[in-house]
Amino acid sequence: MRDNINNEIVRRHVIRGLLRVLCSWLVCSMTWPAFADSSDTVVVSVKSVAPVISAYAQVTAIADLPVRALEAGRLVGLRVRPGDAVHAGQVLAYLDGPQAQAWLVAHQQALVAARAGMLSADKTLTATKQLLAEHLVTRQQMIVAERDLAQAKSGLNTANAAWQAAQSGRMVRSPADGTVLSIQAASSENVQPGDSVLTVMSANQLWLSAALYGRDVDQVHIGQVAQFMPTDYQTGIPVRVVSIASKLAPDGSTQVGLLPLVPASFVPWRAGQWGQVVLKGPVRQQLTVPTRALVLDNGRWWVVLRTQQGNRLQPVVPGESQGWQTVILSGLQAGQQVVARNAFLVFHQGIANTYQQPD
Amino acid sequence: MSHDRSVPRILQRKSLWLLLLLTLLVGSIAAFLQTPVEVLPAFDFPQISVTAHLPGATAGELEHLLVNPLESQILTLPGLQSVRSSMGNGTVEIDVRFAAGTRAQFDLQAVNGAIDRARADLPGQVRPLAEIMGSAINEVADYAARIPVGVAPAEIQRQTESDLVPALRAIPGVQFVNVFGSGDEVLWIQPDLVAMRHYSVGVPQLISAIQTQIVLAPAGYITMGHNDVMIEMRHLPVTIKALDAVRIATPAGLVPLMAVAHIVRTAEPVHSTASLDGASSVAISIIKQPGVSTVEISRAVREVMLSFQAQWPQGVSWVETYDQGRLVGLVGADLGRDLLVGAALAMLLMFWVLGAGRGMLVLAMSIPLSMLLAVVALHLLGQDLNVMTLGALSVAVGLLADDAIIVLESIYHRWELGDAHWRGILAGVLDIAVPDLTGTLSNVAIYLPLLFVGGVVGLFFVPFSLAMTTALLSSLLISLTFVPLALGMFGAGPVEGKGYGQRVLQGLQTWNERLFDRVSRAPRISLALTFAVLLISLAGMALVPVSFLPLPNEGSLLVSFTLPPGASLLETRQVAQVMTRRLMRDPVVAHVFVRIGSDASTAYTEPAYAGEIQVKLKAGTRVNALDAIAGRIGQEVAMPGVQLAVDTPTIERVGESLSGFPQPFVIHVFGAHLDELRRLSGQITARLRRIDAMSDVFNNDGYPVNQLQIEPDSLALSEYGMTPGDLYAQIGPLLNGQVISRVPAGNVPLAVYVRLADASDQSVRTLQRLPVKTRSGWTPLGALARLSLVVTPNQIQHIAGARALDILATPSGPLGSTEAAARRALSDLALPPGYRVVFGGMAADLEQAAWGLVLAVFAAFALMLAILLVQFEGWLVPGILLLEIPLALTGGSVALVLTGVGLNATGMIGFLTLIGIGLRHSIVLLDRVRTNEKAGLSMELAVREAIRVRFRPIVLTILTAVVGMLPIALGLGEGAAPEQGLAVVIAGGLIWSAVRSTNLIPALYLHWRQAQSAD
Repeated sequence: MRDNINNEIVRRHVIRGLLRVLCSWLVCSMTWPAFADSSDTVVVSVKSVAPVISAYAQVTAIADLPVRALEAGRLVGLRVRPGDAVHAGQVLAYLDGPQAQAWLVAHQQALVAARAGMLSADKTLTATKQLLAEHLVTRQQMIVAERDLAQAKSGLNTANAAWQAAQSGRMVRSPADGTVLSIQAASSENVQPGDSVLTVMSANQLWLSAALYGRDVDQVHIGQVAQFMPTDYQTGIPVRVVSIASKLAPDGSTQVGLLPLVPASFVPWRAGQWGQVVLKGPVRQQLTVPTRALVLDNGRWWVVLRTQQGNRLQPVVPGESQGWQTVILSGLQAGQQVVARNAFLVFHQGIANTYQQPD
Repeated sequence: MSHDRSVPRILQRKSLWLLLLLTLLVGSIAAFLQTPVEVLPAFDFPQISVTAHLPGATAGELEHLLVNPLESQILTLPGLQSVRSSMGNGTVEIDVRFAAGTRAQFDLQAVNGAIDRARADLPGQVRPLAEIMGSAINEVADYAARIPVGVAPAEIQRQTESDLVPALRAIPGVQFVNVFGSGDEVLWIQPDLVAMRHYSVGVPQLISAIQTQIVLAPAGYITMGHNDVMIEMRHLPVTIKALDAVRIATPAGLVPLMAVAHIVRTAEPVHSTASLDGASSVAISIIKQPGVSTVEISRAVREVMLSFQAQWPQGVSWVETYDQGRLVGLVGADLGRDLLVGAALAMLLMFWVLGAGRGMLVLAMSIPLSMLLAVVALHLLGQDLNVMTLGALSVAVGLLADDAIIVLESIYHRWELGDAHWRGILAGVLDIAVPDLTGTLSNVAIYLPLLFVGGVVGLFFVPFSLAMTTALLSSLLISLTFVPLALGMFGAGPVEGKGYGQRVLQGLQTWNERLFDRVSRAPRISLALTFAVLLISLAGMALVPVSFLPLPNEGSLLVSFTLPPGASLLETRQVAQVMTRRLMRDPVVAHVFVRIGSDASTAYTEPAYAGEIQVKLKAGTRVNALDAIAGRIGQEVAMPGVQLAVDTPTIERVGESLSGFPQPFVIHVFGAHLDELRRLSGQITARLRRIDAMSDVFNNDGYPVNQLQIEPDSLALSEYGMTPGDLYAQIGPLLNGQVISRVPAGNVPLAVYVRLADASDQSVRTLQRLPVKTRSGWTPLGALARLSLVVTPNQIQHIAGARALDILATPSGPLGSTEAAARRALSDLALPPGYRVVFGGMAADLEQAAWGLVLAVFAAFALMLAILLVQFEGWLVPGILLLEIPLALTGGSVALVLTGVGLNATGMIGFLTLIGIGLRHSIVLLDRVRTNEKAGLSMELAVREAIRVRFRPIVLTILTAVVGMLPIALGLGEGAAPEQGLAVVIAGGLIWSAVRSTNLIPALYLHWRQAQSAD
């Protein structure tokens, strides 16, 4: 009897245990697909997305100063080299040679002549004054003598100034503080007035010149902040847009000028450096999905939507991709679930009906 | 020496026969050694397939660049029957079928000539390869390299091509050695677009600067010191440093190449991959010449691989992933085993029944002699040893003893009746000669129809038929010549007394006589019952699994997979990785080798979204488990959207060998424009789907894939002084890549290659921004050309040079009526001018083949009937013997149903063999009956005496055959699978045949003979 009762108790325990296992299995099997499914999908959400534009950019001088020869002559004493720093007024070269000498001599002789003329006019006036006292000349003659003296003085001043200028013109001077960019003439070369001898880049007159194409320009405005990434530097230099050219360059680009955010003297860039400038467009709230959820089929883009009724193929229009996400311009709503894992295979899971594996 | 004058004295000289025997032996062994051993018979079918690769090209580009130039030459060849081309995914396959009766080798030469003529019009990097259809089966060995992390696969590939491949090619009999897996090692120049813009260097300028650097040319000679000294100009930059220093002229002066590009020495990016156990690998496949022994090549290859082991970088080793020689060796080993077992069992049986003696020795010698003679005959007929001929010889082993036992038994019977030695031998031979001959000829007549099966099926059955015929005829010759002579020479004689075996046989005979009593009392009912059993057994066949060829145990399985067309290589690789991981978890899997896509140097034709997984199983996997393993593996790797097929490597290669053949039912839609063709094929497909007798309607060719078209804007280009060609000269090398030059560097030249490092990672937007150098500066590509996503067909087909789309379907009903229904469904389809619909497929060929087969069967039947009519005057005996044909099926069917072994091609041939054996035994018995009747015995006595006399040899041969087949029927040994069905059919059928031949047939004869006499 006792054995029978014990057996009965054991039997009930076993049955209860089995029922528990069965219930657990049922619950798991009903919910497992959900668990399994939820790890394959993502929820379409709105994210702040700013379009990124990158363009080729180079550090250039805002303007270059050409240094020209004022007189004809032979260039001598040109010792500066490209890259040398120069200061305003610094003599960079001299003009010598027969032409320059002749020019100088001409001005010098003109001065001598002017001095001689001045001396003569002065002596004439003195003599005329004496004669006037003796009533040997008329007042009119006196006036003429005074006039001649004044003319002679003026002539002397002019000749003197010309002589100073001629002397000064022999020297090629730097017009401003800066750096020699390039040298157009060589020592001992004969130059004519107006010929460019060298080009000086003014200090603290550098900016970043970028070339943008097409619709990218529409997303750029004055004051916009960007990052300049020189090719040989690891960190970027923050810059801002200061000018947008109103006409296109011959290659169809629009030149955009940018200056550093910090004073130029603190910016570690040099003229000629090049790299890429990265601008961010206005931030917009847009729907995004992981790029791997997008499937290209028949020339159109699709995603696999997970709905209550199962999977549904949804055509979408994708926009720009950033990182692992892609903007969706149309076709989806926030909150929808999209298959992200094995999306391509899930999309084509019925392919056996339309395509046979080639033998 | 006996004074018996029954046989002329000259023929009694032992030395003469010994010399003859030795000559025969030596000749046979020489022929055997020279006969190649392969898997399949040499394909001499006059169909040539031409394969060409142009990676990255779409169907339309392939059509224009490759197919049209090739077809223009191929279509001019004489003797053409059909030319079918299919192009897509960077691969072109042209199948050229010549008229029946032309020699395939000559056809191959003609096609190669056509290819040579077309070469000038083909892109430089394309190397078309022409092969006789069926060459895929000549791929005899595959190896894959295990490459540790830290060793570049490209380096291994280069070393393989440079060092290993020449050694493998030097093996006699090796035709090709393919190396694939990684791209070739190249010096890859990766342009920096920003730097190029800065220095104002365009792509053509970059390429030209490099091309002009590479010089290796003769520059004449000078004579000095009595020598003609050759002058060579050489500048070969083979290092990155040398290329970095190349100067390019820019407006700012000369800049080094390193300023505008990054140079690395790495693998050229290709659209195919290979991996072993999940890691990148390099693979080699060895293809032998047709008609060369597989086992020898396999062995030689293994030796070469071993000899190179020490030369690889540390950690690199090679794994054999496929060895066809194993299969061939297995089949050959089985044959040897069967031969030994058969001879041993026959000897034991005869010893047990007839007693010990020199007769056993003669019997034992007759079997290998017959086999050798058969091999010599096959060799002389130009056949080699392959699965079909070896399979036939395996069957024949059981039958070779039959002739010898019958003759031996007949002689022994004579001796037991008291005939002297030689007289008994002569009389015994004469007694049995005619029935033995007619029995053998009837057997041969059974296999004659197989000789007339043409086409592909004939490629398999003709060798089988020839092997069976030669074996049977050899056995006949040996039994009628060697056996009696040897018995005479060795002085064999009858054995006194009754052993245990004889007593058992006696008991069986008594039991048989009782059974005969019952059957002869109600012969018609017995016949009806026998037919009823036949019908039941045939109905039972519905339960038997059917396949063409069973899975031979090669120790590996092949999973071929296809993703949806257009799937990226990356996607395919990910899928392959997942499948590899799952497979590696299976306890029986040793290695997993995955090949995706087809390397340009190979004759493979898989696109980048398809491939093969070779699953090498661990040693000791039993043959019976192979089906189960295949099923399990198929489930393990199943993934949505991926189509799979699991098979064995050799079966897969058989399938590849046969590819290029049209499907049973196909509709060709001809027309000029692909869009219109697609539209029409869509309409046709919709209509065909409504036909019930048609399933699996596919319009594969119309399956579209995505393409990005770059269409230059002429107006924009002219604005910048450019032409579309100029634009392509800039874009092409950047995105598609271009080998600028090849620099000699050791055995294998090193290519200098230019391409953007991230070319395939571009998007449409970034491509639109790609800077193009114009005369005014730099302009983005989007301003010069229109980039649009379009849809193009995955594949384009040509039939006889005309564009066509194929629609395939599987007819589930009779071919003729299904085709008629299809024609009706399409009768009112409106076709634009220039478009037409043609019904193709193998239906016509199959019907023709079927008619041919029917005629051949009829001819064989008539021949057999004629032989029987000649031997047995009158129609009674031939009429009874023809009952053997359907009744022979019973035993085999019952055996298959009871054992559950599947029915396949070899099993079906087993049924034919049963018919032959049943006929032979019945002929031998009924001949004895006729002889007895002529000797004056009454009908019943004549029959009973014949049964009594013939019972022992019939039972002996059947027992010998059954016991000899037992190891195969039980599936023992690894290579037994292809023959198991055959052995089961024959073993089961023979037992039933013995009962029939010794009861039903003589009972029917007696019954109808008595009825005849009453009339």
